[in-house]
Amino acid sequence: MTDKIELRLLDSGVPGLDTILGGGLPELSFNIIGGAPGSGKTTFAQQMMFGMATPQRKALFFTAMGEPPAKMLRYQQQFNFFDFDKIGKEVNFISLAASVEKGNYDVVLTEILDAVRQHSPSLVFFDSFRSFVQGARGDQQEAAALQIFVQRLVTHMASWNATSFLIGEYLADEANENPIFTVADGIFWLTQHVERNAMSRKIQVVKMRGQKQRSGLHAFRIDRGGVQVFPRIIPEMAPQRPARLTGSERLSSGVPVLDHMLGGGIPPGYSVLLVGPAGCGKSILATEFLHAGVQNGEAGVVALFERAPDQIMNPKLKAMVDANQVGMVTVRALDVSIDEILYELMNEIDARKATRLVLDSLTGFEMALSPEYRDDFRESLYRMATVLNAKGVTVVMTSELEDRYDELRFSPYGSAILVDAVIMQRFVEWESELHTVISVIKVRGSRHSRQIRVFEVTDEGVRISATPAPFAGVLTGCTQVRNA
Amino acid sequence: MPIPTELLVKITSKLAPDDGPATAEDALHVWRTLFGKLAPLLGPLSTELMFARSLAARQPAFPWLPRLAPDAEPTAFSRFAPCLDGRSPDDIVAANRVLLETFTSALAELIGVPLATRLLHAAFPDDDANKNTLEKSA
Repeated sequence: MTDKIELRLLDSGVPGLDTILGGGLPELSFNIIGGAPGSGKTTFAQQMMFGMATPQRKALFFTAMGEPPAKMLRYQQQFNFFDFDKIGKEVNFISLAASVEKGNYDVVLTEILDAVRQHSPSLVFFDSFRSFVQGARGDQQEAAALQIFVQRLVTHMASWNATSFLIGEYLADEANENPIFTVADGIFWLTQHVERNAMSRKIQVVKMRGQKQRSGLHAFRIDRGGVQVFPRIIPEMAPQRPARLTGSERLSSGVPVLDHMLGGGIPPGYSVLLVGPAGCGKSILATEFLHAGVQNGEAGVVALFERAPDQIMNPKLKAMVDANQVGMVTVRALDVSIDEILYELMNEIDARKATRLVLDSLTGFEMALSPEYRDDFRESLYRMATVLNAKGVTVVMTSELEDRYDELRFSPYGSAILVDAVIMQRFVEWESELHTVISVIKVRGSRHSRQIRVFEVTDEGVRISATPAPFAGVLTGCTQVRNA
Repeated sequence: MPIPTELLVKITSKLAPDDGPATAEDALHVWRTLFGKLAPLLGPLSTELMFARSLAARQPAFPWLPRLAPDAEPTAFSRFAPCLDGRSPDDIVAANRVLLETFTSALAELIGVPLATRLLHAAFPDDDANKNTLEKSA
């Protein structure tokens, strides 16, 4: 037993936020929600308020001049979290506009205290706190007057036994000058970043006393449901690779000859890069991997980045999706974050207890990301592969690579070193016809074939020759038929 | 979707409580109850402006009401109140009924029917326990 005060944590009501906060929002904490206009501060605050308010934990939302209250109510009720049944009971809105207009901090404080006395709230919100400052008149405009007001307000707030929030259009460089940041227990910073036609939102928990919050910027999205935070996933430890594996422990790729080339199949938890030019059969081969899982009673998930759900041109994959044997995640937006995609994938994988995942393709994946995330694509791939590996999910990623024949590359992202196995496909020309060859470039910790084999897609499915392709000079682009 | 008719009927019935003749004080009490509920939520200015717009819209039908610009914010209610003095009960009910209809309709337009309906219900609860809050102060 310890004499230390145990901080009770409140469920913030914002999906994903509690993960960043290290479990939840400390009760009785005094918090600042800052950010530029349009960054989502009010929505974020009101979602927390509706989420946390109960008959035993009432909330007061003070509005100053930041946004006309009627307008705010008009727009906020569009969100699913806006609970009409709580208005006037668990949740009360109070407009301080008239007091703030008078420009006297004492009048504002008196009205606040009267309302708190009347409602006995456990949650108190002030939106926008900056309006108090801008509304100040005469000698009240002095920084000292503001500081005294803040000190008095914060002192009162501590005595209310309430968790409180100041919402304001603060700028990042104000944090060092404004006294209010010093006394705050928690600081939330919301930003939005626009690059070309894509907009991304990020949240940072700059400070949260008593909690080990997750550092850095985390993506969030606002839609009808409100704010959804996608905590930045940080692999906690290096993945534990199994020692040299025996064939029986491996997963089938769906093509027996390829399994043999891989040294007995794909080691579980491995990430496999399937690289080749457009039209060489990567998606079909990835489908065989999922099909082998289904036949073995394993659930799978496919993430399609280039096609809508109704545009699957692959009958075998469509049949598995329609039969609910394989879950499908489709991403076509051009402004998502890697953590948002990872969140969707994890949900689908967890819901199905899936052990196999296909990402088709990395090219489409990169395009779906907001431009600012594309710069970190390689690092993001590493994080994703590590997290999926830790979950024991075996991943096949397809990657389109234009074949120039004068160089041997496996991925435009340098991702070959991030994965555990690489399978390469390539076109060769022979007698005025394109043929496809396939070879296994790498299987970490395992012996594997290094032969170049002929790859064909027939009416019966994928066929890989059991012997080396009858070509020489494939890698140079100057193919010749080998003498038998 | 408009404000439910039965709710409007309930509110306008407060203009002449206990089936007695409507008085100016009854009507003003209804408006003060309404403002008391809405002003803390919407702000006094928004509430006053909505009333001023309602008054400006309905004044032509009731020439004895004050003629105001739709944005005559700080004085609308204070200029409206004295105009009720000396009016017949029928005049008071007729004018205030249409004013209430216009005002609540504007409220619904602004914040949506579901929220407006809830706020009006909260301002004029129909349970006996809250009956006293609607009665005139002595």
